[in-house]
Amino acid sequence: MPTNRDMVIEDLTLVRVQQTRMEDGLGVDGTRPYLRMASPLDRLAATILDLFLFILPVSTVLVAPLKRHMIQALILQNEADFYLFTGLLLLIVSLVIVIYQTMMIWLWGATIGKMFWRLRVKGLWKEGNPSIGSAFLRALFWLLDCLFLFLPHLAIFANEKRRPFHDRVADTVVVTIKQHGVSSPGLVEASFVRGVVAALAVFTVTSMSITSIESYIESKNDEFLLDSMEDEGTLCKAVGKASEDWLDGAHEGDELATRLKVAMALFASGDVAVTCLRAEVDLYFSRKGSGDPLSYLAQSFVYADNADLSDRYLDRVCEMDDQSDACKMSHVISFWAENRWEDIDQLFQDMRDTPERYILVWAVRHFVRRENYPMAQAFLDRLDPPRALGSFIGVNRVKTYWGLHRREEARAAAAVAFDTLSSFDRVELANWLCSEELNLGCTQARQASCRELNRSLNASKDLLTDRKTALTYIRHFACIKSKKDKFENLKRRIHFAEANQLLDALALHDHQQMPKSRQLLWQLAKGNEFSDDYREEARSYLAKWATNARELNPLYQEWQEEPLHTRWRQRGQNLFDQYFRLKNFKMAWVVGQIIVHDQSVRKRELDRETLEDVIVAGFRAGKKKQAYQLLINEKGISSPISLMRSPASEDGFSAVMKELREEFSQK
Amino acid sequence: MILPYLSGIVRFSRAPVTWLLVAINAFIMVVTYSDLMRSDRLLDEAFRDDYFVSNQGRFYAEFIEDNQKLYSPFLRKLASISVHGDQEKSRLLGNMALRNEKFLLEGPSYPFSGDQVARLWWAEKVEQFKKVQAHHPSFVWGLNIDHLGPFNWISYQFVHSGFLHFIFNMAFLLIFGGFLEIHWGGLLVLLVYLGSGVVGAATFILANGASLAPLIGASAAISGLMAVVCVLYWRTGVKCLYWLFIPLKGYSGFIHLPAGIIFFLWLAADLAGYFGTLDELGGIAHAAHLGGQASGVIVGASLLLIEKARGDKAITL
Repeated sequence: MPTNRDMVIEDLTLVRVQQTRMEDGLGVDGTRPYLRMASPLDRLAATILDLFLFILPVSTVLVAPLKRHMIQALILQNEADFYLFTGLLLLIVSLVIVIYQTMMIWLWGATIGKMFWRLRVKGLWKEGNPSIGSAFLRALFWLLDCLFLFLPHLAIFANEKRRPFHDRVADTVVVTIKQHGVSSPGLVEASFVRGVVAALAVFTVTSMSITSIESYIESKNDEFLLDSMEDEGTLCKAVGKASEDWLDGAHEGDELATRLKVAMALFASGDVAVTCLRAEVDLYFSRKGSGDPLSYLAQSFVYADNADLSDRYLDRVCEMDDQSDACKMSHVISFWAENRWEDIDQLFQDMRDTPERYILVWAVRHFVRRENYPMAQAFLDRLDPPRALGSFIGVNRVKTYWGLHRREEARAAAAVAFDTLSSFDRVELANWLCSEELNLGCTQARQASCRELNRSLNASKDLLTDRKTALTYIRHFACIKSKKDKFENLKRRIHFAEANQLLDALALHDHQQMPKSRQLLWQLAKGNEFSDDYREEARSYLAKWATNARELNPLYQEWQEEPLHTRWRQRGQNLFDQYFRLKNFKMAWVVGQIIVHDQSVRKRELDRETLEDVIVAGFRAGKKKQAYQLLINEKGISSPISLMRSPASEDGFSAVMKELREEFSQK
Repeated sequence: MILPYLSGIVRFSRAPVTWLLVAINAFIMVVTYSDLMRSDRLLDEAFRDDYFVSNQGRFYAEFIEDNQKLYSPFLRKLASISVHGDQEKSRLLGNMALRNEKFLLEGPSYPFSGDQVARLWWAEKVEQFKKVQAHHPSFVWGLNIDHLGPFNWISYQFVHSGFLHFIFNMAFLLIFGGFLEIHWGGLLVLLVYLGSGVVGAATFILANGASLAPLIGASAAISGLMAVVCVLYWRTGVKCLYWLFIPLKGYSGFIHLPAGIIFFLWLAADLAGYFGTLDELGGIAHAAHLGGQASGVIVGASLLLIEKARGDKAITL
């Protein structure tokens, strides 16, 4: 229903239509007055044209200097200036729009775009163009419509005279002077547009609500993210925190140098990321102005991925002071790249008295890796533990004790470490120690480390995503499983191809299908695409399940041809144990001699039980003289052990030793 | 969206000089394309190297701090933030440093403090960078501090930095050059093209001095051609293509607009670009366009005066 006001408009229009007819864009159709109303699309096209022809070009030129200041403020992070210039910029654009529309409509009754599309803005209450006040009001509310994303303009499709809000406020109407105008919106069109507006309003409110909720959730996530970043920052904060209890008399008062050393030590122990070290060394250079050997050494770690650059930093370290510990450490790094392990051993031994903790940490890491546990222990003992290095020292203490065959001490150290380590480090240590325990046999499956590992893994029902942990888990499961436990069930939690193949082999063995099981294990052992840990595990099972020497010999051949490495030694031990178990003393003696030789070359003490078994194997293989030589050359075997550790040594080591001594000592 | 169409792409027989200019541009584009791509790849790699860029920024900051009188307050402020360890600002300065010939010339032997390995590494990279520049078409043919000879004042107008740069410039050259040649002859097109290019380059150098970053492209020359056409036909409706984003008949097609409007739009875009972009981020490139336009306006106005003196009533299409 038209309102009273619309009827007034229509009456007034009728009078003027009759007066001005075609030139005003209004006309009559017989006796029935009508408005030749402008098409909404023409009005849209006129607006676009205004935008391109005047508003954008003039605005961009006028605000250009402000834009330049705004960018400067943004780069310099000067928020006050940024908001000031943004505000001025918006003000100028608004002024351009309002002045342009006001003047054009007041003077010519149309903007450039409207002229092009032959549209005119007409006042309702007087002849000619709208008054300046009316034009200004219209322009002002047109601008306000912009704030509502031009949604009020949709009234063009709903209002009977196609007058959006700004036309109604200014008492104006837009008409066309073309031959044909458009009629008032029909019921369907008006209802449709009102429906669209209502839908848009609902959509806007809903999406704003959803956005608010999402923003809230994101803000929570942001908090989480910030926490994580802080954690990463904590890595650097960790440096600050550790610096506080880093009693280092040599650099008292030099906070930056202490911070850098702390960062170096924490980086060496794996407690902070390289980004943290980089931040510290950047800070050091920016504050100090010039570098010293330590800062260049730190840079060589930061840019370790770029060999050329890293080497330049290492060279610079010694150019500055070739007697410094940092210079010796730079040689260590160079030798690491060249695998000159003995030279590195020597360098670290030369630096045994260094007060620099970062060097001590690297030394411990090096000697543990080299399985030189006495040296590792010596350096560990020098690391008077600041709290920040507690985890590193705890873990390496366990490994060192274990390497020195001081197993009870290793277990005790691990028990202490489990209480203090982070969950990640705890699982890692438990995994390592449990794996070592199980190398001794399934009797160790109830040790604390394995219980700890099992507890941690069972607490999380997720997949086992770490290959090594999964392997230890399988090995442990194989030891403790009851008859109704199935290997197949583990596949639900472990999704590595090699793990699945191992589980299949173990399941086949469980079902007494030995040949198929061996076939799968050999495939795994030979598969270059599988990880070394799983290939080694397959060889270990092949040795363990061998029923005769023929099945062991291919493993021996393979082992003999391979270069020395940690796994090679473990595999040799397995082979020796199995030959010994199968009473093939000849082959056990051959393998045993290689193991003994390797240990003597590396100046390591052989595990006492193995040594005794090697002597027994030599004795049984008829190599009595060599067995006796071994007996008298090795320390610590003077006291006989009468225990029967192996089913093969029926008469025990003490009897063998007695017989050997009787036969050869007289000679 | 409104684009000048004028007489469209005219045939070779009607505008041989314009087509000859396009052909020279195309020939040089083809000849230099592989060198351009190879050199750009190398330069891109250098600028993707965070170590290089952040160190360059740090050294540039120190250089600015030591030579404060030579730099704007904005750069001095940025440098001051950078030397206090702001990595992000160092990277930003590292990218801006490319435009400062004094720093790039003196920097490699400058006694910067701090990380000396980084200094030497950076200096080596800058020297390598200069070697790449020595073969880079934009530097060899373009106009920069190392190439200011008479040849480069002309050659720079025929080199483009990429395919899109080339396509857009040639389209406008064909539209404005072709139109002018039909009505005023090929000699005027050739003279305006080369003359506006020279004036554009002079404006570019006057705006900020010769830079290590080279000036290349036909934009200044084409701005001159456009300005001549717009001044000569400033009140006459010339054919333009418009599209108003409404996918209905009647809202796209051709219209005739006074050529003055085209000039106004073009000038506004360049003025906004010149005054709205930081010099350190490449704002001075618009100066060359403005110079080209100014020379075009002078030529166009002179022709109008000559025509008026001869007694012609109006220039119409």
